[in-house]
Amino acid sequence: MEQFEPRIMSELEGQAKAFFRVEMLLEAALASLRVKQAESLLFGKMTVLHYRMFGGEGDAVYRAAAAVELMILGLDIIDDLQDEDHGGMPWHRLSKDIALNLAIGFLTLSQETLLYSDFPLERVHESAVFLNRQMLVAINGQTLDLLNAARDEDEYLKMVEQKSAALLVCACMIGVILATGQADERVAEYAREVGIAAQIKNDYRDLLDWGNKNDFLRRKKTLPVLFLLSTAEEQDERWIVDYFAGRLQPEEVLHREEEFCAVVQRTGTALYTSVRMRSHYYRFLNIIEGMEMDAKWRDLMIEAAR
Amino acid sequence: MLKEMIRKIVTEPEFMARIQNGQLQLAGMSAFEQRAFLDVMQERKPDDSLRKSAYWA
Repeated sequence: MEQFEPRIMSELEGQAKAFFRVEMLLEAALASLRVKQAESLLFGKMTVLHYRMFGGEGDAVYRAAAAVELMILGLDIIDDLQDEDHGGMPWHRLSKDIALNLAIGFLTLSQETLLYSDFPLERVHESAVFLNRQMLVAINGQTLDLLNAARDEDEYLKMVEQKSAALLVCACMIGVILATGQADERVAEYAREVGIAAQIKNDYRDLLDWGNKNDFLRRKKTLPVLFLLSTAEEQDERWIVDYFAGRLQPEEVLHREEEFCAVVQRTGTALYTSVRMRSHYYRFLNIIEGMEMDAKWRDLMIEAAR
Repeated sequence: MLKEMIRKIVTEPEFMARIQNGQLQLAGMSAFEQRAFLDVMQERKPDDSLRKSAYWA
C-alpha cells in the first residue's frame, strides 16, 4: 500500500499545531503523536486500506485517517490514566488534570478533523455519526471493564466487543463510508472478529507479564483468567483461587510468578486461549474470503490481521 | 465441549494421541473452533502465537 504513514502524520501534526495554542499542551500533543507514529498508526492504516478497498481515490482520506487516530489516542490516554498503565508515555509526565485535558482535546480534535475533511457533506455526516456511535459503544465497554463485572466468558466477550472491537470496526468503516456513502455489515463483522482475537491475545500476554500490569495480580476477569480459575481449583492450585477471591494478599503471591506460569501451561489455559483466539481469526478469514474484492486488498487485510 | 477437551488433554496423556490419530469426533464445536483446535494441537505451541507482538495492541 502507498506510504500512508507520513501522510497521516503530517495531517496529525498540522491539526495539533492549528488548535493546541498553549505551548505545554502543544508539546505534549506532538510527543503523544510521535508515540502513535512509532506504533505505526495502525487504525489510520485500516481507514486508508478500506477506503481504497472500496474504490476510494485521492488524498482526502489521510485527514479522515488522522481523525480516527486522534480518537484512538484520546481514548488510550484516558484508559492509561484510569489503569495507571504505560508509565513511560508522555501523558504520564503531565499532571493528571492536564493529561485529561489533552485527552479531551484529542477527542474533540478528532471530530473537528473529520468534519472538515474534503468529502461530500452527506458522507462526512454519515462517517461522523458512525465514529460517535462507536466511541459511545467503546465507552460503555470500558465502563464494564473498569467495573470488572464479567461473570462468565459470554459477558467478557460482550465487553470486549464493545471496548476494543468497536474501535477497529470504526476505523475500517470510516474508510468504507467515505468511499461508498454507506456502511458494510460484512466489514463490521470481520473487523469485530479481528478485534476480539487481538484482545484475547493481549489478555494472555498480560497474564504472564508480572513486571508490568498483570491481570491476575489485579484480579481482573479476562478470558484466560476465567479459564484458569475454573481449572486451578480442580487441579489443587487453591492459592490461585484464594488470591483471586481476596483471601491472600499480593505480598503472599508475588514470589510465585514462575510457579504461576507453570500452572498456566499445566491447566491448559495457554492451549484454550490459543484455540479461542484462532477461532475468531478463522471467522474473520471466512467472511473476508467470501467477499468479492481485488485480491490485493484482501491479502493486505489478512496480512494486517495475522 | 472445548473446555472439556482441553482438560482431558492436560490430564490424560493418551487422549492427545487419540486426537492426533483422528479417533475422536469434535462434535459440539463450531467449524471455526474445530479448525483452530486442530491447528493448535498439531503445533502444541500456543505460546509462540500468543506471545507475538499483537498487531492491534
